[in-house]
Amino acid sequence: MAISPLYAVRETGVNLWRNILLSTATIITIGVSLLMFGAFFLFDYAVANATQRWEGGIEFVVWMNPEATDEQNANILDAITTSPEILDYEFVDQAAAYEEFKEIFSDTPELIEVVTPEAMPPSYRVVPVDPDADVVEELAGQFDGRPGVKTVVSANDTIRGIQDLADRAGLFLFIGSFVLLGAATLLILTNIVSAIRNRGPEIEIMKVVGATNWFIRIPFMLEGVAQAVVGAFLAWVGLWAFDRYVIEEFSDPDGLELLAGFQVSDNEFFTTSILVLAIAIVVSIVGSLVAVTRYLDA
Amino acid sequence: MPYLRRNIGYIFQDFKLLPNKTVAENVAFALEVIGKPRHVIKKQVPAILELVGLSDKMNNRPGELSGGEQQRVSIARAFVNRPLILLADEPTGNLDPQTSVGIMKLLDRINRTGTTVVMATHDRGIVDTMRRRVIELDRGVIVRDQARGVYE
Repeated sequence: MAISPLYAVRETGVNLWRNILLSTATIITIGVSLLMFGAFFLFDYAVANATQRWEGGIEFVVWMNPEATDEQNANILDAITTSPEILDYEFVDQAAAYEEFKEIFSDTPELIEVVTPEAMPPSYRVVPVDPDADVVEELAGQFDGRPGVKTVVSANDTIRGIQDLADRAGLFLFIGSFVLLGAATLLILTNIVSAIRNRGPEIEIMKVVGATNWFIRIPFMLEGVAQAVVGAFLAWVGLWAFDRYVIEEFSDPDGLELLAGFQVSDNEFFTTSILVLAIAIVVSIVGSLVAVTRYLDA
Repeated sequence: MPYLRRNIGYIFQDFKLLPNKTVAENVAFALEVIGKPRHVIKKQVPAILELVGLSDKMNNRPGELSGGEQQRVSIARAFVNRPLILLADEPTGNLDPQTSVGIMKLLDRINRTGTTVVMATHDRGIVDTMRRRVIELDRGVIVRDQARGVYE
């Protein structure tokens, strides 16, 4: 016969309440570790969005006027392909630029509606042979002001610094969150073992009268999952605040132009939220299963 | 194994009642953990408590009962699922002689409903009074099996 939901909920609640202090500590640890884990992803998304055009060794971008003539375009392309100082380049036409624009501003459809592909400037993303800042600046300067060129933007040391800092901070968050998730798994295990010991006489009676192993296990496993889900909710609230008050503040239009595009789309936030919840459930099931198989069935 | 256990009721010398549950809850627990529906539990628990003579104590906790009453609760819990066999491990070991007689009468009534009662005891008076089948064990080996035996 199946376990009744009322029984499962009641017994899970009793287990949680009996160990309220340990349960609270477990929930907070899970919440903080998942917050760090989720923050790593949000931060990574935001940095990737902000520095998207500077990936793959691209050091400067030659923006063309949308109205540039074919001859002007051909001259610039010729200058890029024949320069011995240029290793590689990527041409982003108006359609591709528009797609990128739509992706970056997916949260503001009203902006996408008023912009057409024809208004988007095509560009050449250039990978120089020598990435030294002075060399890049001199090389980029050769294109600035030429007919058909709207502007030339180079990835300066600050952007490289941001990428480097983001990588280091991200690694720190990632490792830290994993250590804390390990601690959270052990706390869930300890919590359940404590609950099992508290309820030793009841478990003995349950076994004597013929309760199945799963019937005995489920409330303890639900206890772990409940702690993880509440912890994930706390982490989600923290991530929302992180996105709203940290990431969005950086991407403030009145703020630093350098950090324009430092933002997280709704899709990216949703993906991160689901990931955080999934990790919470996996961690809780691992902790719970170890606890019930090792201490309950013995 | 759990399903086989449902055909066997257990009665312990030290009762093994749950102190934080009432008499009715202790008995209902045995049905609840094998997944019996609530309406069945609501019907069977008062009936079994009536059988063991504890209808008026169903809301008391074990700590508020005498030893004999606690053993009756233990018997009610063991018998509420109507098992084929009832194993009683020195059920009167912690009780005075007068109370023990009451417990034996109850087990006798249960036996008359068709449930086999297997009872381990060192109580000469009970064995001699009941005059039922006696199996004597010596270091785990059966040395005597009599249809209407006495304590030797």
